[in-house]
Amino acid sequence: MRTTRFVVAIALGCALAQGADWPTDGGNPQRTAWQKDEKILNKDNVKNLKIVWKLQLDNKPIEMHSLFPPLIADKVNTANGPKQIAIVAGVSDNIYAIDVATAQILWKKHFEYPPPARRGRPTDPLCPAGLTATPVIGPPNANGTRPVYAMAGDGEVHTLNLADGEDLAAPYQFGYPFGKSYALNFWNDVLFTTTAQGCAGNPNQIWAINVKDPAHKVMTFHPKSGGLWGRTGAAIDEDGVAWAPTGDGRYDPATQTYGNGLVGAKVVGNELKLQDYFIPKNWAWLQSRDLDMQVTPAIFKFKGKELMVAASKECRIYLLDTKAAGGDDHQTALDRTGLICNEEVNFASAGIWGALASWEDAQGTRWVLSPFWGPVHPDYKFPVSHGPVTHGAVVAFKVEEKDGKFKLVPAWMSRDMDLAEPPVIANGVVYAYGSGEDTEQAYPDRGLDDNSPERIHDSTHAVLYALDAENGKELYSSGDQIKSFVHFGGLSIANGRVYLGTFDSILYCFGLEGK
Amino acid sequence: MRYTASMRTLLFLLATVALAQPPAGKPPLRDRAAAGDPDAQFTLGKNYEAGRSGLKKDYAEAASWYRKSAEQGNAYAQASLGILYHSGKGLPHDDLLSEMWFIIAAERVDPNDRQTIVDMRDSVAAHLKPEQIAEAQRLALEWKPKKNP
Repeated sequence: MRTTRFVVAIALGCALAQGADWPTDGGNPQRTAWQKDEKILNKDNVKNLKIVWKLQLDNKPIEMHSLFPPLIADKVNTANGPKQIAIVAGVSDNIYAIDVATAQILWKKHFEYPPPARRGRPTDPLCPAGLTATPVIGPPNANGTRPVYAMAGDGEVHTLNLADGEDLAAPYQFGYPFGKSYALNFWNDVLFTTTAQGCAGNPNQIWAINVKDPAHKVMTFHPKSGGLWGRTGAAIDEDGVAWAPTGDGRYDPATQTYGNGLVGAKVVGNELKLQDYFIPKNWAWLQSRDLDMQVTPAIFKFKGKELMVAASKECRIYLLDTKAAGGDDHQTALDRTGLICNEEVNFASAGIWGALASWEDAQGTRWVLSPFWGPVHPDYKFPVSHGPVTHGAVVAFKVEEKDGKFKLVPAWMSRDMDLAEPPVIANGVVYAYGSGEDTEQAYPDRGLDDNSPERIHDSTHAVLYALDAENGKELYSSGDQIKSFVHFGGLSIANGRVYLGTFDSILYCFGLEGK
Repeated sequence: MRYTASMRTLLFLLATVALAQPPAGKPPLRDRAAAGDPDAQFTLGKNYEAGRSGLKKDYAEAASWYRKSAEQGNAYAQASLGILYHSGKGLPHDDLLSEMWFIIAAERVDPNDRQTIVDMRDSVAAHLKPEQIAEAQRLALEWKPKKNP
């Protein structure tokens, strides 16, 4: 193994008996990004957060991509006893299993395959030629073995034993070679992913495959849109409907064209069928200004209903009912916010990007969280804020119901962050980060020239923040401790540890000394 | 390194050329815009604003093409002109003229998009005195579409 490893500080007396997992991107199939079982980190002690260890992995970055959000599983029975394991995928077709207590690599898998016939344009940040879907950890089988489902860059799904990395099944084709699949989700034996940007000729659609189907039939639903590029793929509701934003495009129900909206598709028999959809009334404006709906929704229960929130680069949030998204006309949300940001109607470096989040506090208040890029809209006011916001921030809303009407009520806005990315929540603390990446796609002297080398050169470094989830007050900042930026990475949290992988293929583990 | 850079440039140029190719039987976008097609003028303006389809990012050019389209009655171009007047990109910052174009656009846009334009109109109005809003309304009332200005 050529991995160069350096451990800054090994956790002292690491507690292994916590039992919380983070088995999928966004924490759960509903993509709420809420760690319900955190018992170590809290509002009082998070100010003492520090880098417990950082690990240099031998993953080679491709375009701007490097490490995807770690998955965490506790109490995994290994040959050397139970361990808490972090599974980290790298874009150059690597899967690493790391012992969280010692920062040791327990096993590594590198996927090899013949070069696919097509690939994205070299230097194009949109279409890296490699593994792009965050894997997912499935539930244990009868003998307690837990599978890791990972899709290699050639589109094959590998089923690995979480404990030792051995193959549990022969690989099978699911995605499109170098087709840029988004984070895998898992529901009732079915893997889901989404695709966007038409990488290597890949169609933009929702994909599903039953891992127990001997024929491994690939099921798809194609919304005929610009791309389903919600950062954490599809979110799945209680009926197994996979919801994904459709990106730029037209809306024409007569021709089953569902651009600039949110579609929900479900496995029926051995086909993936459209169940419902939501298209904002101003979809034509969104298309005319390239403000596509492109954010993975968060799905949650509230007062006996299952609701979800969705958003777009236009910078407003929609509250929807999963049982009737958009109502009878598919275009009427339960509520929609005003414009939170993007006053200049910028298509590249402003608006809401990535994924949303939701949690419920001890009093039963349901919260919705959103990151955004760029300055806050001067007309949108939050009762609590923490200084001027010009580069991005995280905002929080309370979900309220009165006389059968559901509303998103603004609660707080965080401090300024350099391109705020999707937050995660645990034990009353919101963890967020500014990615530090350069997002410029067009230049006055050249026009559109979205190229990785220039964007990498102009990127800075990520900063992790911990915020009080009740009011957004900053409780911790990593300052300049993280040395590189993050593109398509993400936060994970379990058992007192917060993880973030950066472009230079370093995995950071933040925690408390002695915990 | 040089090879990579050359390949990148070549591929970028090829992609640019490919993007600039009109659908079969349709004149190029710039020709249609120059011939007075307001939809083409809006798209060309948007391409200049975003700096894409082989064009340099140029807010002044964007404003120029938006204006040609807006004067003919394209509501998206009218709203886009309102955005540029408010931000001061490609045009001198002028909230009165921004408000005027948003008022005009709100009257003409598809009903499904109206609220979006109204939100922007009202946002700009918050920066104006009542007499300036009245002046913007007067100018909007007097405005008449022109055929291919």
